[in-house]
Amino acid sequence: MAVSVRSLVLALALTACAGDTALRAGVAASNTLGAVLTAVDGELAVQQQRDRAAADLANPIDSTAYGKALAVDNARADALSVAWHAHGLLHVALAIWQTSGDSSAWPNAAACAAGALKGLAAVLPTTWSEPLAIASAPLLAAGGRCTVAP
Amino acid sequence: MIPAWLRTLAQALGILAPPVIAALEPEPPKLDPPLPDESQTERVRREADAARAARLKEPKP
Repeated sequence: MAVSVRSLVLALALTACAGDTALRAGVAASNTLGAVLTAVDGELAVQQQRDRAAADLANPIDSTAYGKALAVDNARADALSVAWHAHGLLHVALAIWQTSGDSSAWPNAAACAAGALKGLAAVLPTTWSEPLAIASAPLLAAGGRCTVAP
Repeated sequence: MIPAWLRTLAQALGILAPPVIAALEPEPPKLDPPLPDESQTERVRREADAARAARLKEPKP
């Protein structure tokens, strides 16, 4: 009996330790993702400002041409917006995990964020591929499935 | 049969281990604050498009 109680305590301790490690990894992943998205945002905002002013000047009345000139900028802004929102959900999932110990929202939120990063990498210049891949790796490691679109 | 000295040593290690492990463990990383509701990119896009739409709506002389 004593042995089984000891085994149970040990198993509980190991489980708690594994959960703590996973939470640390999650926090680090969220912080990395936030930093990468902030950097992408800084660069894209400058591009948007410049390209929209140029497109407006070149197409003062023709809205179709204006939209066409900004197709790439719009695709990038849309993809960033999805990733931005996905980070918000990830942050909420982690905050819940930290405060209540409930980690159930984390794998799904991580998978959705990884999916959003994949979409963002597809429309950004390749110079962003590596930072986005670094941010994505721990999210994919969470092993979740994105069942709710970000 | 476990010798008494070994039992004492094991007990001492058992008592000492948790605080030692706790002291050696790195500080848990702090969760950064959430990103702002709207990205700079989104704000620039929204404001630029709104300004253009307002200009196009203005009556032409």
